[in-house]
Amino acid sequence: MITPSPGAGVSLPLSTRRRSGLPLLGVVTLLGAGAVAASPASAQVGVQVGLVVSSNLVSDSIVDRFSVRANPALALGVTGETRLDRYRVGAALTVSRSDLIGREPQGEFTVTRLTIWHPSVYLRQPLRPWLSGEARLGLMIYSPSVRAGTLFRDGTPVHPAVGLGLRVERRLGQALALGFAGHYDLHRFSTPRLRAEGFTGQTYVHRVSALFSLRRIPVGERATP
Amino acid sequence: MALAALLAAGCGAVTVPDRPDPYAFEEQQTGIVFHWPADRLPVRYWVDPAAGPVAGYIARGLEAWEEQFLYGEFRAVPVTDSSEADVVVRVVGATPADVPLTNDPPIFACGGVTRYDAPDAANRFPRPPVVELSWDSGYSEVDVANCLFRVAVHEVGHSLGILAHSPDEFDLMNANPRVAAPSVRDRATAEALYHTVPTVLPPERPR
Repeated sequence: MITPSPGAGVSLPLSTRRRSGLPLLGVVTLLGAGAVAASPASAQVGVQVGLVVSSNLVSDSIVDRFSVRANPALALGVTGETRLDRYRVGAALTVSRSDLIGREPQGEFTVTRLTIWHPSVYLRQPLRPWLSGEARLGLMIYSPSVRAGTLFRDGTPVHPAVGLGLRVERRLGQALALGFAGHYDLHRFSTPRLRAEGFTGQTYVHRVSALFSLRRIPVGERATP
Repeated sequence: MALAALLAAGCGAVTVPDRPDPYAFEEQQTGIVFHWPADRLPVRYWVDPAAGPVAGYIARGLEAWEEQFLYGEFRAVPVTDSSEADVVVRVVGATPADVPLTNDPPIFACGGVTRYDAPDAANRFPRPPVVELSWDSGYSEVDVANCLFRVAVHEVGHSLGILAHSPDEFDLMNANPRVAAPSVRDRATAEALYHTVPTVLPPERPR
């Protein structure tokens, strides 16, 4: 054994040679609830399940360059919407959860388990009887399971997000519609810790989701194919 | 549209901060590079109950080191069962007095060492590293406590894999630590270590 210093040291045998957006969230929720409540006769609710993939949240360089992004995640959502003239307005809440992974040349490392809440309001316009397009405004709320020792140590970000989507639907009997939706959304990302560490600017984060949906058709619309 | 404009406003290219150059983290005589792999986190630290206040110093040291990382590269937890330990911490001799720490100038009233056994044929440490702290009864209780705290945090740095000393006297990982918290160079070194492929694996995890 060796003791490299009289004060403090490490020893190895010599023989070894091997080498805040919460108010906004409230607004979004109220808008959605208001939209559904405004016209109960045409209000409808639905559920969604699918997959969401995301671009990099952070690019950094320690020894080598690497990137950090959320793994593809299972997404679950609920929607509520009502008719407004020839449009539909609605509110949605989607939650996805997966590991936040760093990828560098020598391998991968897990930063934390990451839950992303995405409340939004949207405007949907039928383009065909079976196809509609939608525009969306919402928030991305990041909720990591571990904050200490991560980029979320000094706070978890809430970012505004915009999105576009297409939805195709097919009726299942009189009361239900089965659909498939593809969404794209965009938001900026940074955290207080990243800024404190000297990162400047923010990353544009692109997300694409594919969601199956099931919604209840309002009574007033059931006779109309 | 307004929100789209908001998204675009003020959004320049992301720049990565300049980090200080790390000092050497590999063991100087053998070249061994070691850090705890991601599948071994959190690292489990057991502190001998006879170490008294040192358990608290180690806990604060673990927290201080964890906070150096941005991407969760190192995490640790205390355990109460020594058979579960990834790292063992002991105090040589009598239990030191538990007195409040102060900001007095550093007095070298104690010492510490982190012992790793030679790697086995599989390039794996055969046993958990052992941190040993000792103290000199010729100093005041508060000087001993301040010294043990500094050295405990320093030895945590060795136990997470920094197997060398910084040449800078203002770094925690200097051989004779005068400060009680990692410096920016200590941080840069720990970060660089955890983004370097190790040459030796940790011991098999105790069951």
